[in-house]
Amino acid sequence: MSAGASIDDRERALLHERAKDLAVVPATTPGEGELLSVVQFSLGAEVYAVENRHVREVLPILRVRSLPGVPPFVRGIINVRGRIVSLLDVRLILGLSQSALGPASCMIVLQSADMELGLIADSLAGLAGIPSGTIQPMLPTLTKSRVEYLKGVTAGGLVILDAGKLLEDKRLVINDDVEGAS
Amino acid sequence: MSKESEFLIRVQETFKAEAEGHHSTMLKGLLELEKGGNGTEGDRPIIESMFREAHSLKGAARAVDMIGIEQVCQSIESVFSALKQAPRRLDKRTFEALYRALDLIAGLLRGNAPALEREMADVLVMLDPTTIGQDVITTAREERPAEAVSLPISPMHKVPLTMSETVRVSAKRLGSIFLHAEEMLSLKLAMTQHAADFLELEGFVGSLSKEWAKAGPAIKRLSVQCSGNASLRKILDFLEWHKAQDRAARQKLDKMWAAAAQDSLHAGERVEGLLTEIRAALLLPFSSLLEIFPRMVRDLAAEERKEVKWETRGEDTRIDRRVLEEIKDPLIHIVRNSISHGIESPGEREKKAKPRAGTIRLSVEQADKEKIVLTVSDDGAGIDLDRVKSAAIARAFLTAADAAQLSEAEVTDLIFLPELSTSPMITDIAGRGLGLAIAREKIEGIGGEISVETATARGTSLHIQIPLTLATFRGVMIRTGGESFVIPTASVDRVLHLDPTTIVFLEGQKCIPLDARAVSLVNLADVLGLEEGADHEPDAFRRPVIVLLVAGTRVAFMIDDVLGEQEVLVKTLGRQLARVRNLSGATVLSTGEVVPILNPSDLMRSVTLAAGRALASHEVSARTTAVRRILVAEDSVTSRMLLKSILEAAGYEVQTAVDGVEAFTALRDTEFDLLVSDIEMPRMSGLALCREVRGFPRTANLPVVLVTTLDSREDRERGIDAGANAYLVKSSFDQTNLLEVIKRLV
Repeated sequence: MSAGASIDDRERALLHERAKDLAVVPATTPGEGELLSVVQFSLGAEVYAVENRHVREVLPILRVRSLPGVPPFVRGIINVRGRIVSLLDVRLILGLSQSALGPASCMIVLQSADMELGLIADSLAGLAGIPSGTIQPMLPTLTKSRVEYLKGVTAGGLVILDAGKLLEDKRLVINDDVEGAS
Repeated sequence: MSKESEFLIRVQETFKAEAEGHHSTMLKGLLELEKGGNGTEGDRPIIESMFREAHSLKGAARAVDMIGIEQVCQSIESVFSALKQAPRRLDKRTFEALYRALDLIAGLLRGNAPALEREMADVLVMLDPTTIGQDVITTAREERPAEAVSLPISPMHKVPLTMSETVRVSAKRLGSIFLHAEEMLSLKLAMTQHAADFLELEGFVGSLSKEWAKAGPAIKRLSVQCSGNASLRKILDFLEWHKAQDRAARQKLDKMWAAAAQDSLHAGERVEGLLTEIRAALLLPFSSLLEIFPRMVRDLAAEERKEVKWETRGEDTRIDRRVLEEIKDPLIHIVRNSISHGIESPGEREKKAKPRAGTIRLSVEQADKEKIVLTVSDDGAGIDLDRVKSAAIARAFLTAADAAQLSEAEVTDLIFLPELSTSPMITDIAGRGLGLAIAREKIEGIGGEISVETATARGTSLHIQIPLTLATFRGVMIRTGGESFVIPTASVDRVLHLDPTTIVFLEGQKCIPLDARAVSLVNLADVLGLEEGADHEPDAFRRPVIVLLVAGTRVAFMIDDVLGEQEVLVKTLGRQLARVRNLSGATVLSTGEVVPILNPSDLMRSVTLAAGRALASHEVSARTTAVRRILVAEDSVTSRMLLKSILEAAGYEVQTAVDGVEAFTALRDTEFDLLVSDIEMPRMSGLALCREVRGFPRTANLPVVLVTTLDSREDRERGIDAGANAYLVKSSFDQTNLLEVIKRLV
């Protein structure tokens, strides 16, 4: 007869237990709430995350072309299948030191209906689901410019960038006339 | 959340496309079935296919929750499932039912579910597999003949899903198709480059066969003389073999080049054809831009307490949406100016015996296959040309005497000068101030032109010529500060090599003479704020200089290198970089490399701002009163005397030398302004002399003109390598040419 029929009651009970264990959603510490699905990446020694829904794609950084006359946080432009996307140094936006581009560096392309920009990531750390209740507001010791673009931090020290804010903030849009420059 | 609904919409779109495919296959199958065996044994393949299609569509419909379609498909499927088991002749009524079922699917796909509820119920009843088949249906036919006949049974003309003449395609998708098609252009450019590479290689191999021909007699002699020497024999055999290989290679390359050239030509035609078609698909009627205008005109007029009528003509003309976007702001500027400064107040107009309400007319006209002409005219006060003139004189753009000689059109054109228009005075007078300068910049930015025509008291007309589509343009690829950039060829006046001895200072600004005018000279890397490339001294001899001409002003920019000219596609810098000073976009080379495109009018303004004031070309006398001294080195006495008399007749003081050594001695002893030298001379050739001159500190910057009978590219290059400023070939050399060159150099 088939293998299934030879399972005895003890085994069935064991399998049942296991299935029950597997079916349990991992306990979400402090708060519950919906899962925030994020893309995690490292910047220097810290691990950051942006919400998945703002991420269009993640690409390796092959060739960046720097531009004259733009602020330092604009590291250059990249050809993404015939479209030009600007690459921003999120560390500089956050008031930290400049990112160094290495072989593992990626561009995380954020997109909204009327904005598209790329962020430098030192390396990609994968996807994750974070229970929104576990996200704490930023520590007050951090400087003002940092807090502005941060959604919060988890107990594990994962810093969640406010991608929506980055995409919305008109101050990050370069709209520079010759006159305005001098 | 929004991402999810977006996803759902995408899935539904995909489903629709898939459903349309199944639907049309079933429709075709049904028609064939009706024409053929009506469902008998011979129709098995069609029955099978109908069954499969209905089944697939049922599954897909279930996946996207289109229950109605799922049910109808279920019924169709069971009909064909029954037929599969027992093929039988289908009667007219069943066919009608099946056609109705397909129409129903089409209707449901269009989203008319509520309206189709009744039809749905009917069709489901009609398609009951237990009632289909000859026996049952013969009776059924008798029962409902009238109804069956009244049904629309010509599905070929009925199903809008597959038969419609037009389809809606989202602008985004069209844009993406266009992007892909445009990318084909770089493929075309790459192919052209490959063909050129083949040609170059072929030329290279060709020069080998020339050398073979020269060596031929010697090889022949050797083979006769040394027939006994085995080693030599081997070498000679090898040479023969090599020669044959070279010839074969050349022939092969010749063919490859011809094929590559042919292919690139064909590819070019296809790509251009494709692009033309897609560009046509991207055209929008002008009226889509004009919707905002009636309201804007009304509001602005009310604000100014004026009465203004807005009239348009030719708004059905179709134009590239990207051009429309670019033209929007300039058009708003112009109309706004017209209302606030062109049209007079109702009272004033009545005094002038004009109707109380002014009229602004916009006419859109397709001038030819590539151009659209917009005319914005008002019946207002017109531009006061005398006051424009006096403002221009006040700003030192003109002398009073010059102004008197200008034609009306020329005076009118002055209003486009940005420096002039920034003056508050002129802004107040003409009211066509900065706005016009910006409008002009934008219009020129897309390859258009703007001109103005005005009649005092009768009104003003602006004529704007814009391209129908944005296309590729030719650009000069340069390197500055170690990085490459593209400059639109249309703005390039010329490219030359810097001669530091010609640099003069005008009001603290470095200038070089060009066509008897001083043109300011700046380092492009400085203007852009780039680090100067390490291998360049600022004013190095023969440093490349690119002269840009924008709106009548020229500025010379020192650069590292000119890399060539090519066709480029303009891309925006992305949404985050809405506008970057000195750049107008970027292009992607066939190698995938991204190169920024410089914005010439920005560059000019950057330079102007840096200098603190306008640096329009100033008239300078190119010739000073001092007599220029020229040394002529030439071994042929005839040529020597000829050159001497030509140059003396032109007012130069001339000394001669019979060869390079004598010439160099003379140069060390005496100060000269220029050296004219032959190349082939005894003791020291012209090239050697040239190198000596460059190596000797006091003469390092002396202009040198080489005159020779040698005329090949290599010889020219050798001359330039040696440091000559000009290279004239005796065969082509006539007095005017020589004098022209000398005049430019001293």
